Amino acid sequence: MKNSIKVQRTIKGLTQAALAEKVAVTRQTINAIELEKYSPSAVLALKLATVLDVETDQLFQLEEKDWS
Amino acid sequence: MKLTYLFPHRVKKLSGFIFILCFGTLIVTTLMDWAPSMFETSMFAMVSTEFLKDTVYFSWIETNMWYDLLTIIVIISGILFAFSKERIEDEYISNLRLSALVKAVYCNYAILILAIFFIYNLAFFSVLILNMLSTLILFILFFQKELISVKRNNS
Repeated sequence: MKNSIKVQRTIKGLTQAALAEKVAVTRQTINAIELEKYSPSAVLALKLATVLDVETDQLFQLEEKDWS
Repeated sequence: MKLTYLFPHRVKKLSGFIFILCFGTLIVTTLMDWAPSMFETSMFAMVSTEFLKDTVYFSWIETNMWYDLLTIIVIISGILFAFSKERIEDEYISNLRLSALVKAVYCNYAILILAIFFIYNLAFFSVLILNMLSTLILFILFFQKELISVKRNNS
């Protein structure tokens, strides 16, 4: 699953630590999501979309491999 | 995600200290085959088989409780250390915890299968004793390694 968290976070002027604090996770979690090493739960995805003020499907996009 | 089956973070440091101390003591005293005589006592045994003797059921036996007490302390402190929350316990940490637990179980049984093939007679008894703690120890090692590598990648 691709995501544009890094782009949206930069637009909002937030650091990884600041975003992590707003959604109550560690900075390591935000980093792992940005590097696409970890796919967040639906709750965390919705929290991120809310904090970054974008639609969830604008923040996360399914890839071909996600269907297999 | 609320994880109610983990212990609070405040027990982590103390339990980790007790675990390392008691595990080290257990290893050293086992290798030296030494136990303090003050721990000699009578204990109620549901089943007991002494070397070259018949099995007895529901009787009082004379034993040294040193290794038993140390093992119990190692198990309890190990569980508290392994399953207490991190400072911030989020879903990614839970994911790492689950992954480490799966690896530990696989690794433990791989070692046990090798031991079944290559270790025989009384030596296998030592394997079974080590097997009481090996899953817990492997889990702690794998999980701590994952945490360290995640922190290192982020710094």
